[in-house]
Parts: sequence; C-alpha cells; structure tokens
Amino acid sequence: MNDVVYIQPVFPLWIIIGGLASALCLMIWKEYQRKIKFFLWRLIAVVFLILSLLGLLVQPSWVTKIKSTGLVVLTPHYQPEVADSLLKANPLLKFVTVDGALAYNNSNEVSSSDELIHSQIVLGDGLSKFVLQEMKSSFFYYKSELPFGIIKWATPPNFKINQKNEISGTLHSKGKATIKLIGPGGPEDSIAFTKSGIYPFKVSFTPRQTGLFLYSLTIRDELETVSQKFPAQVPAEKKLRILLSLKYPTAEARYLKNFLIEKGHSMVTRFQISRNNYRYEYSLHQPIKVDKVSVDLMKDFDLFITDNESLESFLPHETTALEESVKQGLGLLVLHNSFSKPTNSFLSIPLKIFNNDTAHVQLGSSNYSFSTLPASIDALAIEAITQGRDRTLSGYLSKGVGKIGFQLLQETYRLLLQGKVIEYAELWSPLLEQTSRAQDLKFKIQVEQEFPLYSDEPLNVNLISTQLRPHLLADDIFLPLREDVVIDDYWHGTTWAGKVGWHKLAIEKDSTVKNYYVSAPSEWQSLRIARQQNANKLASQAKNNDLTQKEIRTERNPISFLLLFLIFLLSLGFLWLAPKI
Amino acid sequence: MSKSEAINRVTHLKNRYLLFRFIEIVLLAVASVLFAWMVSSLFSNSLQLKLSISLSLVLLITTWRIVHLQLYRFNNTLFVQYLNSHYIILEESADLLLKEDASLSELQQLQLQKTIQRFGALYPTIKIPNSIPQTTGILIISFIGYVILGSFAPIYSGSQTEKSIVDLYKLNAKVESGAAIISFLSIKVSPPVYTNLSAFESTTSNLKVPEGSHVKWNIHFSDSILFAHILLSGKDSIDFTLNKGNYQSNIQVSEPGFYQIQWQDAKLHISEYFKIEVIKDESPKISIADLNQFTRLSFANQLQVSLKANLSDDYGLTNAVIIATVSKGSGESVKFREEKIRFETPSVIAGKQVKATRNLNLNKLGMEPGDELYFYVEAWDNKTPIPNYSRTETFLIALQDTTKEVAVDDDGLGVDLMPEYFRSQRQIIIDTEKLLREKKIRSVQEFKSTSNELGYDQKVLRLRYGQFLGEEFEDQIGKAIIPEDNDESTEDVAKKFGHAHDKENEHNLVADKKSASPSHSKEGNVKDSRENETPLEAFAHEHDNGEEATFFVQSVRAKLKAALTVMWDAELYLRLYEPSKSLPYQYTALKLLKEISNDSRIYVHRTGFDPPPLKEEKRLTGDLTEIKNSATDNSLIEQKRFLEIRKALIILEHLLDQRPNTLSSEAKKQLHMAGLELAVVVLAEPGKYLEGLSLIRKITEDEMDERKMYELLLVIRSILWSVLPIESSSPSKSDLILHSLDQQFLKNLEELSHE
Repeated sequence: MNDVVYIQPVFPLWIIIGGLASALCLMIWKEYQRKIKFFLWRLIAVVFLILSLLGLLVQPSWVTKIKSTGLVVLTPHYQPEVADSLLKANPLLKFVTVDGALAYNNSNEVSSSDELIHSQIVLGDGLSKFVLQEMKSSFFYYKSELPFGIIKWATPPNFKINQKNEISGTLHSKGKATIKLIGPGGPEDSIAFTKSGIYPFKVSFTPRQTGLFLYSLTIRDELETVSQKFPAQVPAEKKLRILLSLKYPTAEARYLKNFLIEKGHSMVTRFQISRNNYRYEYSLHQPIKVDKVSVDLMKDFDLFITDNESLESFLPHETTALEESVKQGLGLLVLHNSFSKPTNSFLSIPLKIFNNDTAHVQLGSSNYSFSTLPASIDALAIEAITQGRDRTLSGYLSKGVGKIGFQLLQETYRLLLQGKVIEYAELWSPLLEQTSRAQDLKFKIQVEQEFPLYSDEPLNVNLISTQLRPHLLADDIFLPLREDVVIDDYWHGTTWAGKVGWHKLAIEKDSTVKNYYVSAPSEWQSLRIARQQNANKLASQAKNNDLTQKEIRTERNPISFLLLFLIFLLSLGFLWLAPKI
Repeated sequence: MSKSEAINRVTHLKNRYLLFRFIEIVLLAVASVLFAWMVSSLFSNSLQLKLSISLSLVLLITTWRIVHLQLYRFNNTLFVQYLNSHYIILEESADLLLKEDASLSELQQLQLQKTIQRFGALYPTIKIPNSIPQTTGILIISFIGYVILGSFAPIYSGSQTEKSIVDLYKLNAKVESGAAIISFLSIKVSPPVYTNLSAFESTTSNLKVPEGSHVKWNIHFSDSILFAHILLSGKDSIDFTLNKGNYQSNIQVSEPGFYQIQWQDAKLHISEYFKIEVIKDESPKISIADLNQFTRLSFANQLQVSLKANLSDDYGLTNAVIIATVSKGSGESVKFREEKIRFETPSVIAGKQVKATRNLNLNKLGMEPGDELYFYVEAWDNKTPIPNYSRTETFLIALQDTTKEVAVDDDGLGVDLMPEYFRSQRQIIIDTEKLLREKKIRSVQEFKSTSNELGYDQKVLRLRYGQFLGEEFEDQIGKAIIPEDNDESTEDVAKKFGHAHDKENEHNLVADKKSASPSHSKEGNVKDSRENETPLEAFAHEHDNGEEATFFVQSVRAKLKAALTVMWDAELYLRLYEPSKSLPYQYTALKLLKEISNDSRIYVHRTGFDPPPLKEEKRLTGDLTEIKNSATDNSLIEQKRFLEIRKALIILEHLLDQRPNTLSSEAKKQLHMAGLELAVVVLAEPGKYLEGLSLIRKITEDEMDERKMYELLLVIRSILWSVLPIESSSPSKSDLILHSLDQQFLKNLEELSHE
C-alpha cells in the first residue's frame, strides 16, 4: 500500500505558503522579542497554529492505492459461463446481482446504487444509464445476447398529415417473423422476414387526421405475438404566406397557384402582362401593390416564388433587399425555365449543362417521366428534395437563416390534368415546406431521454428560450428550472414520468407544448435492453488484458476539517491564555 | 289348364291381393296425416309437432295393418288356404296345386286334375278381398274434415309458408322484459320481373336485393302494440299496416341505405340498424373485336369491314344497333349522312351474352375515295321502365383519296387556329430526305448524330401534339400510367380551339341526348359502362363526357392519336439511325396532320371568330395606355371534410388513453355529431360503416356494457378513421427557434464567407 498526500488548495498555493511562512516568521520573531514564560511551548503552539491554518487552506487528503478483489455486477440475462471464467481467473472477485438477475454462487443483492458506481466488471444487460452517469471509474462489460424483437427504432419528431411518414428500425428475429404497423383505422403497413437474423426495416403510414394518436407495432413469429404501442403526434398544418411573381404567366405557375389557394394558403400572385402592367390575384390576403422588392414587403411573406428570368431582371437595390430578406429567414423558390449562366450573386444557384431533358421520378408507387431543364445544380451544400436517377431535380440551399430553393422539373401540372393530385402534392409540398420561412418560436422544449419512456423514471427536460424567463408546467404542475452555467437562455429541469399515457410539458402563457408518451413497462423491452447494452459498451473503456490482474484503485481520505480547526483553536487559545510573565 | 298355369294364376291372385292391401294402407296413411294435421292445427302451428304426429300415425296404421293382415308373411300357401275356405267347389284341395307331383298319391293326382279344372272355371269369378272403398271413404271424410276444421283453426303469427328470419334476437335486443317483442318477422324480396329472378325470403335482417325489388316485411308482435313503422336511412318512416294480426309493410328499394323498425306499446322501442344493399343493374357492356379505332383503307382494298361486337348484360339485352355516319366532301362542302344499321347475326338481340356481327360494305354505304365513316355501337338492356344504355367509342374508317391534294393555305381566316409547329413535320421529312441523300458523303458519326437530332425534333413535335391530347406519351413506353382517354384534357383542347356552340350534336356523331339523358335522371340508372368502373360513380354527378362532347374531338382526336403513334415509330427509327425506315412513318404522320388541320378549318369557316375592325391609325403603334393593371380576389376558404368525425377522433383518442367507465356529455354530443356525418356515408356503403353507426348510437344512449366500453371505442375509432379520405398533402410552416448562439454562429459564418 503506497500512500501519498493529495491537496486541494483554496487559493493559489504560492499565496498560501508565502502568506503563512511570513506569518510564521513574524510570530516567531515577535515571541522571541517578548522573551516571556513558556517560550518553547509558545513556539510549538505558533507552529501548530500555522500548520492547522495551512491544513484548512490546502485541504489535504491521504490517497491510498488499494489492491482490491474487484466487484462484478451481474445484471439480467448475464451468461453464467462468463461469470465462471472470471471467477476461475480471479477467485477473489466479489459478485453482486441487481434486481432481475439470477443469483450466482455466493453473490449478494446490491444494496444501493452507490455500490454499483465502483463496479469493475458488468455482465448481462448492463447498468442503467442513470448509474452509468455516476460511475467513478472505468469498467469491463460483457454483454448478454441481443434480445429478440425491435432493437433499433427511429421516428421523425413529428408526423406530417397526408404525407407518407417513414419509421426505420431493426428487428432481431428468431425465425420467420412478420411486422405489422396498425393505426387507428387498421393495418397500415407490414413486412415479412423469412429467417432468423438482424434486419433493418422501414414501415410507413399516412396520417389522415391531426392530433395525438397511438399506433401499434405487432411482431408475430412462430412462437408468439407481441404488440407494442408507439405515439404519433400529428401537428396541424400551419398555412404559408406566399408571393408568386413571374415575368409572364405559365401553365405551371397557374396550376401551382391554384393548388396552393385550394390548400388555404395566403397568396399574392403577380404576372407581368405588358411592359408596365401587371395582373394581381389575391387569396386570403389584403390587396397590396408589389411594384418593387423590399425588405419590409418580404417580411409579410414566408415564401417568394419566382422564375430565374424574373430574378435576373431585378434592379440592384431589389436584389440587395431580397438577399437581406433571405438572410433574415425568407424562403426563395426559383422555378428554372431556362438555362442561365452561373454568377457569383448571393441569390444565384449555379447550374451546369446536363445532357438529358427527361427525368424519371418515383411518386407513390409509380414512376413518372417529366421533362426537365437540361441542367444540374453545380453546388455542394444542396439539400435534395426530389432526386432523379442521375441528378437532383429540386432542393434548396441554406443561406443565412433563409433558404433558396430550386425546381428543374417542367410541366408538372400534367399530374393535375391526369387527376393525380396526391402525386402532385408529393412533388411540391416538401419543396415548398422546407424552403419557406420557419415560424419563430419563443421557446423550445426538449426531452433528453429517448423513446420509450417508462413510469417512475427521471425525465430530463431542456428548454431553449429567446431571452425570456420560462415557467414550465409538467402536466399543469410548475417544474423548477435552472439555467445552464455556461449557456445563457438554456434551462434544465427534471421531472418524473407519470402513469402510462400521454403527458404534457407546456410553457405558461405561451402556446409552446411538448407532448410525450409513457409506455407500459412490458412494452419495447428489447429496444431498451439493446440501447442499454450499447450505452454500457460505450461507457466501458478498460482494456481486456488487465482483466485477470488484481485491480488497483485509489482511495482518498481527507484529513478532518474539525481536527484542524480544533488544533487551530487550541494553539490560538494557548498563545492567548498562557501566562505572559 | 295345366298345373303350372294354375300355380301362376294363384301367384297372380296373391299379388293382386297384396297390391290392394298396400293401396288400403296408403289411403289410410294419407287420411291419418290429414287427420293429424287437422287436429293439431286446432292446438298448435308448430310444423315439427304436426309432422311428428302425422309420422307416428302413419307408422301406427301401417304396422297395425301389416300385422293384422299378416302381410309380412303372406305367400301362395296362405292364399290357397283362403281359396279352400271361401270356395267349396275346390273341395279343400287347392293346396294340391302347390305340391310336387312326385309326392302325390294316385288319388291325390286325380283330385289335383279335378281341382285344376274347377279352379280354371272358378278363376274369373274369384274376388280378392279388400277394403279399398272403405278406406277411400275414410280418406274423403278426413279431407272434408281437414278443409272444414282448417277454416276454423286459429290464425297463428306468420303465414305457414313463411319462415322467420334467423337474427330475430337482434331486433329485440334492446327491448325490456315484459314489453311487446317481435315474435316473428319474415322479409320477402320480389325482384323486378325483367330480371327473371324468383322471389325469395331473406334469412337475415340485413338485406341485399336487386335494384328495384319490392321488399315486404311481415311482423308479428308478442303483444298488442299501438303502432309500428320502419325508419329508412334515418330519414323516411313508413307505417306498418295491420293485416290478420300481422304488421306488414312493402317498399320498393332502388338505393342502398339502412333501416330500423320502431314500435310502441307502453314505451317506444327501436331496433338496431340493418343495412339494405342494392345490387345495381349494370349497363350493357360492348366491346368491338379485331378492329382498330382508326382504320385507313385504300380504294384498291376490299371495301368490306367485318364488325364483331361482344355484347353482354347482367339481366339481358333487348336491342343493339350500329350508328354510322358517312362524311363526304371537304372544306365547306362537307356533308354528313347518318344511318342506323342493324346486326346481321343474330337478327334479334336478346340474352345475356350476344356475339353480334355485321359486314359493313362501304360501297353500299355510298362511300367514295376521300370519304370517312364514323360509327359506334349502342345497346340497351331489358330494364324497365327506362332501359340502361351504353355505347362504344367512335370508330373511324377512312377511304384514301390519292387523286387530290388538299389546299392548306387560306388567307381568309380570321384566326389561325393551328400553332406553327403543326407544319414542322414537313421540315423533318425534308431534313431526313436530305440526310439520306448525303449519307455517302457524311461520316458515320455525323450521320448518326444528325439522325439522332432529327429523332429529337420528332420527339418535340410529338410532345407538342401530345399536349393537345393532354397526354405525356413517354409514359406509355413500357408502363402506361395515363389512361388512354383523358377526357378532361381533351375537353380543354376543344375549348381552346373549338367554339362554345360546337358542343351541339349537329351531326349525330355523339350519343343522342335523349338516350344520354337518363344518366342525369333521378334514378341514375343509365350510365356508361366505363363510368361504372370508376369508384367516383357513386359520388360524382358526371356531366357530358369530354370524349363525346364535340365533333372536333370525335374526328380529330382519333386522327391525332394515330398521328402520335406513327410519330413514335418515326422517332424510333431515327434514333436507331435508320432514317430510311423512318420516312414512311413520317409521310403518314404528315398526311394525318394535314387532315387534322383541314378538319379544324371546317369549323373556323363555320363559326369563326369575327374580330372587331382595326383602327388603322393605331395599328402597330405599341400604344398600351388603355391597358391597365388588373386585380382579382380568389380567396377560397378551405373546407375540411368530415369535420365532426375529425373532432370525434381526437376525443376518442383521449378517451382510449384515459379509459373512463362513462362518457361525458360533451363526448357523447361529439360522437352524436360524428354519427350524423357517418350516416351520410352509410347511405353509400351500408355494409362497411353501418356497424359504426349502431355502436355510436349504443354509446350515446348508454346502452352498452361498461366493461366493453374500451373495445367499442376501438371499433368506433377504426370505422371513423376509415371514413376519412386520403387527401393530398399541403406545405406547412416548420418551427424554428433562433437562440442567441445560433445568431452568433450565422453571423460568424457569414463573416467567414466574406473573407
């Protein structure tokens, strides 16, 4: 056992030592000058006084290196043969089991979570993430077999109404298995697996109504059928304010305008009909005159749709205003009717010639051919929306807070003429939605934990605000928040997931709401175990070759503050009270 | 008479005896059945009881007669004994007839001879004992008794020939004990006579009946009631009339829907919902075999076209004819002549499936080179009073005129209806011919490249023409997504290039309005067979089909389609670097395009746009002062369909999460409102949604078991959800929070990009 002293000085060490050394010299010199009774005892008292002060200021502790026998934590589904091997390699290992794990030899049940944080070896499903956060040292992890069922699950944060929403996951199947996605109206999607293995999969559904709904995922294999619910929050559509301005009316623009008007968006349409004359159409918008592009005008709109020819014909001050508006968040969608040479303009989307004027796009379950501009986008940071076989046909570039979108497909209105409104919407809605200005929120609530959430487990809530002090309500009860010590307007709070069902986090006097669903304890266990195994694997850092050696760990024993204080008092008392004659 | 003959006669007599006895037994059995039926009717109407009593009596009488007369062991010996005992003249020696000769003594043989002779003499006079007159009398008495007592028998619920439906319990499910319940219900469905279907009795309360059927409800209540009526689709109510203790109601069913039976004794009772599904009488289906929609014949060809039509209908056809129109001449002098042609075989169209043929002799129709024949087949079924009607698309047969070139230019046109690219096919031909001429002096690469470019030009031309059909023909390579006939787009073209009054059916080339009008009639019975295939049929009120709206569409459309098809081939060979093979197709395309152009000009001349006179002083001055900005308000409030059902779904989801035992009044009210919306949908598809309506009523009227609340809510949610249509998506504003750090990040990023 090698002991060393470890100090934690309250002030910089040189200040403490300098100050105390000076004080010691001064006091010794003073005692020497006074030449009074108990001189030697008084010198000893002075030394003890200074040492006790030093102890109080540097907070010393003894660090002891202990060769321990090692603590092995057995968690549910651990493999006894692994435990046997460990015991054989190191007979001094101490085994403890957590709730749900089978007993092993002379293992004890773990008494408190404090004991777990000193674990050296973990077997089985692993320690919960709450324990992992508190772990004092690194540990070895021997995971159990991967559970059967869903082991990965990823859903979009919000599901979109009337749009195909995809959920991806991974299934660990024992044999023949079928996954069926069942919505409020009945089966929505299903996949069959013919043999055992780990399979990534995707299921999709199209919500027909906004609100909070529960869908269920039924996994049926040769032996059993497991059904587990997952929440689907389908928010209501928020209407856009759109300005459509073109140099001349086209069938494409007219059908697009009609489509957007039918969907209830606020629209102002402006077509040039002669050199100085324009035709205006308003839908759910007050009549305004759009004679020039300005920042103030664009604040009224979320999306500005125009064609490349109109864009090139803007006056310099209009271009500047449009740039500024895009930087502030405006969405600009450019319908490319002709090939224009790339420029360095902020608003320009660089094009290059592409030797194909036809594109095939999959919409729904069918492939459609469209004529396109024989060009492709010559930029790297494109977010593609419609992807053809050989190039991006529509998408957007982020510019400041706003976005600049582009559409290379031509004559898409043919779909409407064929009565394929759903396919037309599938082509345009994502582009318009992602290009347009996003709604500024005052608050954003985030739940740190991933789905599934279970009852009686802590729920860490993070909240971003825009320079406003938030008052968070968890199911109508105020939740205390603390602001992040480093980042302004970033708040943290912790609540406990209540009973099974939907719960709500809301900001007082604001419309910001975050709904979350607490799952039944029996549901999504395979997913939880798989995630816990991964978390334990990531948290375990120790090297395997140290495993058979006896663990050496350090232990710190701080010198009691009370003892030092008593020495200080006694020394000081003696110097004060001892007879001075 | 020999001995063997005598034995035969004995056997014959024995058999007659047995026959008479069995006839007696049968007569007695019938009499006993009538008796049993007659007596049991006095006490009960149960068929089982009557049958069991009758059967027992029959068995009893049969057994008694057989045992009593020893019929089970009756043979010749017994019959001989009868003869000995009843005819003294035989001297008790008739049994000698049955003995073997060898076993007889001489005396016996002498006596045998004597007996044979006497038996021969006696045989015609022998009377077989029987009681047929008596048993016949018993039968007659029983029959008279049955008739007399039958008229005095009490009337039991329902007719003896009618059976009660099997799900009677559903009707009485909600009736408290002690109240009058429906003890008998029979539903007789009589389909219309023309269907040739026999009347039948429904075994369940949910009905599926042919369109126009008469449905008769016959109900007997366990106790007296004040009144009863039938509620049809939640709207109409029809009273039951009391007839011989039974309540009866009779309605004719033409539309699907649902019904409930309501009656009142001390309280008002109402049954569950039951659906009425209607099997629609479909319009005749007509298909023309082995004939293209556009056929071009040269004058040298045999001018006979064989027309084979397959006609079918679900209940039967009554008539079918060919309506043929011959157009002669060109330009302003075009003339039309319409003829109604009957099929040759069969001469009379009747039956469910008919294969009709007709040989169209173009010479007999008076056709000459340059003339065109438009025809279609129309058929009617046997539906009454208004038969269903359908017709085929118009087919076109053109006789080529090789002697005449049609003049295209016409300076007198007020408006040039044809876009300029209508003439560019000629340019492609010129270029192709030039390419072929220069093949030897051009390099292979250059030749291929030029051929490919010409192919591209051909494609552009085709696509432009395709716009007039509203079609993207590229889609039809491999997989045709677009339906062959896009009526809406065709109609648009017609609007663009035709005139409003072109829609009049001036030359009877489209369906006669008289015969087409039933599609708008209240019954909605007469519809095009193609329309019946679309799911929209039940919901949409379709107006004139664009395909049939104008002459322009009928004539030009078919030609334009043919031209586009030919252009495909022309482009194909150009792309394959074989311009020589492409040329014939190009010539055909050009010819067709010229004809289309010419056809359209007919209409320009007839109804041409008459522009106002131009002021010469203003002409070409570019003065736009009178042209002003225009502004219109197109505001459209988006109407969400099934609003109440949508609200109810949100409430249902909340209820399923909370799992309460009872529903709040607000929830019930919302479910009731959703039920009203659902009722409208149920009318169209009762089989699919009627259960939802019943469950909503149960829940809102607190008639369900609380323990089953969760399951019921799940079913209601599922049904309401399935009502919601799949709609097109709409862009929606996304959310964004811009933290000060984000702003700083963007600012720094911008600075970096400037650097």
